[in-house]
Amino acid sequence: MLILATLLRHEELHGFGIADAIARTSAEVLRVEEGSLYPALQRLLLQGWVSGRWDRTEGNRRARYYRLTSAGRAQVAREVSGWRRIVGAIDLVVAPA
Amino acid sequence: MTIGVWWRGLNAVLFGRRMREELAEEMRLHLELRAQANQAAGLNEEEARLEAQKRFGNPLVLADESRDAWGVRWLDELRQDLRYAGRQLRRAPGFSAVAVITVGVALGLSTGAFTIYNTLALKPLPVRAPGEVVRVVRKTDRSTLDELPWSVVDLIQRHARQLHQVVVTSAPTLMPGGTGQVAEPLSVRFISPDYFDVLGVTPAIGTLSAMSAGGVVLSYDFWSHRMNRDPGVIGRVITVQGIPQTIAGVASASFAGTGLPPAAPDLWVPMASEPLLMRGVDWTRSDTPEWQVLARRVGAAGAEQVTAELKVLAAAIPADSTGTTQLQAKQATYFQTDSGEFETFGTLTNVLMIAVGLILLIACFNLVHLLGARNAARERDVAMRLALGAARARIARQLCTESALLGILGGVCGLILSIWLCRLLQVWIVGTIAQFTGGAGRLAVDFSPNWLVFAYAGTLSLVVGTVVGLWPALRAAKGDVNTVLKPGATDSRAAGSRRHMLLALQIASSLVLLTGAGLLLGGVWKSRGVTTGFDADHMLVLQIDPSRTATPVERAALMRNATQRISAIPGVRGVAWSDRGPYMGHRLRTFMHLPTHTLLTYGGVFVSPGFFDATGIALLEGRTFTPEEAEQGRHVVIVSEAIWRRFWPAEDIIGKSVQPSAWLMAPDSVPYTIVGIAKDVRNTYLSRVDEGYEYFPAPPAYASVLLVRTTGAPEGTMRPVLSALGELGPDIPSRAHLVTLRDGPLALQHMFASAPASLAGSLAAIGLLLSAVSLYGLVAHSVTRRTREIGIRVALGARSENILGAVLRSTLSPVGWGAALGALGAAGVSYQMTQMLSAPDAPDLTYGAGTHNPVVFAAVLGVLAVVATVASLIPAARALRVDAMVALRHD
Repeated sequence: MLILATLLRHEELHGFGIADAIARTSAEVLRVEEGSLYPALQRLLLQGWVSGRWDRTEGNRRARYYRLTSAGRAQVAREVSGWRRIVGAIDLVVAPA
Repeated sequence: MTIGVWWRGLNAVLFGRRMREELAEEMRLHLELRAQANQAAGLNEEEARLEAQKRFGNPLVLADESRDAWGVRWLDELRQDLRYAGRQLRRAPGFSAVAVITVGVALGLSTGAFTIYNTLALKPLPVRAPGEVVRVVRKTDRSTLDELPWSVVDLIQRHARQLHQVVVTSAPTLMPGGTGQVAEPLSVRFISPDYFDVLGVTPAIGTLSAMSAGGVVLSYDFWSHRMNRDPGVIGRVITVQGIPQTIAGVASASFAGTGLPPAAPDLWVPMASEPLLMRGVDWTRSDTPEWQVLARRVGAAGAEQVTAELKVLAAAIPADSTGTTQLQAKQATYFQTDSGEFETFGTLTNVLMIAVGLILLIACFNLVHLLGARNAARERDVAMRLALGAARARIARQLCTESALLGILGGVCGLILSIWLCRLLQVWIVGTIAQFTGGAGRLAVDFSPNWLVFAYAGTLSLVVGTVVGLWPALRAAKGDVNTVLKPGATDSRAAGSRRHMLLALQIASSLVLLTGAGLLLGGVWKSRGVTTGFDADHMLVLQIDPSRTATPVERAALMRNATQRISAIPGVRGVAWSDRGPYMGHRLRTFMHLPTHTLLTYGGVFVSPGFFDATGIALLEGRTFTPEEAEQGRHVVIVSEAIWRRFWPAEDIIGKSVQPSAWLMAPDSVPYTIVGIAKDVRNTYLSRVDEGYEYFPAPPAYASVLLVRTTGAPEGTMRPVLSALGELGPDIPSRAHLVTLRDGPLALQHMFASAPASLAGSLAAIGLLLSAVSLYGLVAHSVTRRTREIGIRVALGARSENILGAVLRSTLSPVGWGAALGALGAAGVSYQMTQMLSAPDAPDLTYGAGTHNPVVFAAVLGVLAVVATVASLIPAARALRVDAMVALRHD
């Protein structure tokens, strides 16, 4: 979900870009093993939620840029709304009376 | 999973290498960018790189995980396994060749037999929704008849609720007719008016639905060959028996009729015209069984349910001379090998399937031995890999892949072999029929494989490959690392006894095959001494193709003139005409002899007065027909000795008048006078003396064959006969088919016995050879394994016969067990063959030797004993050459 949400915000990013964006956006709180991004991206590619395109970076290196597909967008909407519901529910439970 | 996911997975397999490279590149870039970011944050180069790696994790594990995401790990492994298996097979070309040939021969034979089965037993009728169509047949004690009398047809049409749209077709009848001035014999089938509509046959041209209006339908063959596919024939008139009929349409090329045997007639005529064309004979009013019945099942009713209903209906039919009537519904097929005309063919095909199944079994066991021995040789290799941490399942799978690959390679060879064998068989059958009938006989058989055959071969080879490999593979993977890796290890007792069990089964299967072949070969052996009962060594058979003869009158004149001319040739003892020659088709009737309750099959033939002179069949009493009786077709009959003995033993029957009854094959219902008694002969089949035979006088119009008896060798008279025919008309010799009885019909009779016998013999030989190879391998293996033990024995002073005995003793018991088990199977074979050969109208392939022939059983066991001894002595002799010093240094 994190990857999809990040891509929703940034349109098109390469792998490092995604990792960096997640780390930065979450104010360095979410710092998972960065490499696990790649198996996740392969799964998303296979599901057809993101598409990849090879291009050049600013440093003129070859990199694969990922962007959301329309199926991916729908998936984000689903996952985010699910997440909201859970967070809301937890909020209600832990909120001081 | 959606199709898209599968598609991308497939991409991953096809472009796996590229995808792995891309992933690696991405990961490299990530590490570099992170390191740059770290450097920018103030770390030195080395620290930045380490920090980046720490944050990233293990790239190899992550790459593996990514590949898992592609969902193709097993495919990846399969590719590895296949590559490994291919390498292993290439490394041992001898083993691979033997294995592939073994599997190839066995699968080739199986696939070939299945092709024949597929062609004969499974081929559907060329009609719409053939699965719904059933054929109603009548079952008697010993056979199934596919033609029913009209009373039964009527009963079915009125009362069978599980069948609708019941249609009938008659057997083909020859009638003079045609479109031109000159009449030619036309083959006609009478059918129900809605026959084509019910079966859903499409017309090539015209319409097939107009039968009720009295139109006739031509077969595509007739339309092509006699009318040059003239589209203008529709609406034109064709005469049959001089009566004009309107051509309504031409059936499609694929429709060869539904009759048995399958051969398209020249034309189909509505049954309403039958009494008109047959001049007063009405098959819907007589009791003669003339109609083949087809019907569509209603809804979901199966053939068994229909049969159940027919059983109830049949109870209403009064018992006649053939006993009570039992009706059965059979799924209609093209050849209908499960009843009637082709029943024997069907049985033979089934027997063939069983025989090749046994060969396949033997070959599989051979492969198990081979793979077992090979895996044993690789035991250390496998144990080493297990010790290094390979999964047992993975190793078993790898070994299985190897055998599956063998199976597939063998299957490909087998398929090629089977196609070749079937083509050979087809050419042989067509050629043989043409040779013995002078090109007149045609049978539409096509043994080319269809998708079912390919599916069969593919499935069988995969199953054989995997199943055969599974056992040795599991055993190899189960091997205990410790014991195997220790020097001087030998294999376990359990493995040895399993091998012995397989060998016993192989021996048993071979014995079963040998017995079948032995019984048939015994028949061939006996057939050499068989006498026909007539002067077969001095007979010529002459047929004249009548297709351009004008009318029945002219035809009769031709036969009469030919008889006179040929009689005048020096060296000719007698000439006679007949409606069929010996062994050239037969008219048989099977009936129940009520006093003794036995089924009897009698034959009948129409002959000229000179018949008994021209064949040398002796008349025991009475006289032959007078020319006047023949010309006028008087109601007199000559019966065979057996009929006399059965009905009036020790009674003088010459001049006796008999009413037409079950046994008398009279063409009408007037009393007949017996004028003579002929000696019993083998007239129908060379393999058995006829149970009863009746001879009726016939005018030359009935003649379809001339029999010529010569004083010297018949070959010397062939040329004069042809030149005599030339005097009758310049084109007649070219239309004549002249052959000696010995080279023509009699040779075909011999072939009936020798062809199945040589087929069975070849199969048995292949089975025996495979078993012998197996036995050889087992003894050789045991000698190798026991080299050390033998060495010690030799060193201790054992004599050569002791060693030989010790080696042979271990293989003796599986051979013994196999022989015992095989003897049981052989008894089964003998029982089955009795069942098969006891049909009253089938040839006796054992030529009276019977299926409980002790000589054959003894010979078969003898052959097995000799082969087993040779196959085990050769490798056992190696044990004698074991040098004690060398053997003890073996390890």
